[in-house]
Amino acid sequence: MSSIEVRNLCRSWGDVNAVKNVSFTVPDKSFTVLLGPSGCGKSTILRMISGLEQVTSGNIMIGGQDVTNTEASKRGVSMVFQSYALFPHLTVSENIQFGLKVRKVPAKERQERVLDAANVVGLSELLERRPANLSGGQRQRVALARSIVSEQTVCLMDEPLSNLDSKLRAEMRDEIRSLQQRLNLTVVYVTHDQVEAMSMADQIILLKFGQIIQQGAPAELYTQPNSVFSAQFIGVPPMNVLALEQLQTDMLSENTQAVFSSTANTTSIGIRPEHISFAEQGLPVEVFGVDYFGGETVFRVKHGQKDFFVREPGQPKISTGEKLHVNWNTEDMYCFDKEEKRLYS
Amino acid sequence: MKNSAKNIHGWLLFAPAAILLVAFTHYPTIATFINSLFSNQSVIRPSRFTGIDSYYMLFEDPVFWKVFVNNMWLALGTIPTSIGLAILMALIVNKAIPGRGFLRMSYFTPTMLPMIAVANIWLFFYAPDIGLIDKVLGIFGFDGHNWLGDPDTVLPAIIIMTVWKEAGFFMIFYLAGLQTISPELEEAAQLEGSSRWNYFWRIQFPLLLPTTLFVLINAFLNSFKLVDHLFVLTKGGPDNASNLILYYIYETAFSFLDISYASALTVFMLAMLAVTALAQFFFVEKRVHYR
Repeated sequence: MSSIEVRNLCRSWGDVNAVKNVSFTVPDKSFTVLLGPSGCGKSTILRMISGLEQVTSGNIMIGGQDVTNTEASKRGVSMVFQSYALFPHLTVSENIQFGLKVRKVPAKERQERVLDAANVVGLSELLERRPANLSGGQRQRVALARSIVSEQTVCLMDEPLSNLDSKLRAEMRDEIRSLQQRLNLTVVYVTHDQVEAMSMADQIILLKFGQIIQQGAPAELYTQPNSVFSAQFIGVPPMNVLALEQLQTDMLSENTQAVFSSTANTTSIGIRPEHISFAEQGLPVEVFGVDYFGGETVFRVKHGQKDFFVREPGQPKISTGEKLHVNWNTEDMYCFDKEEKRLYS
Repeated sequence: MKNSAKNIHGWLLFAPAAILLVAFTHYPTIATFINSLFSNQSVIRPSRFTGIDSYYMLFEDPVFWKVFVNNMWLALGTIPTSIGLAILMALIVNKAIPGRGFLRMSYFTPTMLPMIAVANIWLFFYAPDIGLIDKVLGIFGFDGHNWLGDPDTVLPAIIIMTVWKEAGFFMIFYLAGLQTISPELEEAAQLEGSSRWNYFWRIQFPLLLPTTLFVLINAFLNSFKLVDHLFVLTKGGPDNASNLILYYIYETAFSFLDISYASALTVFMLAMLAVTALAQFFFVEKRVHYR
């Protein structure tokens, strides 16, 4: 058992509260992503779980044990750093076995475990190289191998892919995810990239200003955002959130109008770009930008002063400057109140 | 621009550096070497070619061997200690501790003082009976001792003073070296259960080797170059017990006015320093990891 439980966790430096009363559970053998914009406290939470950072208050349990005040090395966690934190003067092999040497594992066993770990991440040919002679992706693999070789069941990752180019990043995403499943690791993964979160996570914990905004499976966050922040942070392009006062509401269908007149506090509505379609009737818009992506096309359109996105499959014959109407199904529409919270009808 | 004009342009740019180097480094070196091959000139006897006679004299001069050995002891006594202290001080002031700025400055102060001032301070420390050291020892019932007047203690006394002077200077280099090491390395090591000492010995020290090489060469050259304090403290005495090569050269040239022999001594010292510096660069560099 190596589930992680975080209870009422707080961290402050002087007057600055970086993490405010955060509680969540990471189930055993699951992949949890801490997601949020920079400065939201996600790395601080990860560092507190690892033991590299002191908690101001609250508790951290790993595998049922309270480790809040336990030394980092005795918590049974391994960590992959953003900069990889490889020792530049040691070879790949020496880097991987650094921890084993510290823990006085016999040389023979050490050798076997290094070879195993190197095999898992495909580094067997590079064991005698130094980090300076490796590519970014290879360094990333060394960091992973170092974490694998420790045979800890909890692995913490702090933006491990942010220094890679986008192609490699997609590859490593798959690799890390399959590694986690093959080795039955409990992973806590920090990122600000919602694509990583959506594609890898069992559970996403979305943070803002040191507080949890929403947590749940990727699909849940996408389809059931509880606030404007969730709705716009997840999804590319983000959800269109339109303030009612900027809209000519009388142009909308009666069904749609009925929805926000029944929920009196609605101040804005949200619709995902893929749920909006061009139509004969509806909100009048002017197309001012067309981004063609092959399988789909994203149109940037303007209604009065407000611009938003429309996503259509394929390549519809619509060009900049055209004046059209857009429409959507009422059930694809989300209502938000003036605190930007979701209203459920 | 025509080729010739370009050439002139290039030579003009090169000239200031070249003139300074030739006038103040190469010419004096060569002139010294030539001087060492001729006897001294006097009113009644002109200078004549003596070949390597001066160098023979050097090898048979017991005072030279004494100052040479003194200098070696000084190097041996100051270099490892001041490097060790420098690393220790750098590690301390690299931490986020209260009063860090003040501590850094205190460690560096001896370096900012001119050697003559340092010697004056330590002259007071070492003064028999009334000096700081004897006063403190007196509290514990020890008799006064003439630290600088005793051939057995004079060299160690100078070694201690030199360490005090140099460690702070080397600390600056180690501090700079430490700050290039990413703090994530320490965290990674910490997660693996690496102790403070293990981290220092397996990670920090190897990563500081380029700094150490640089400091080593500087420390070695300094142990031959720094003689200002001898003017204040001992003038090389008693019985040459604290005399060093450079001071001996100075005495030979300007007190005994034996330019020929002083030139031979200088050439010998230059050759020795050059060979050592080269050896350090070639042998140590192979074992040093540069990022």
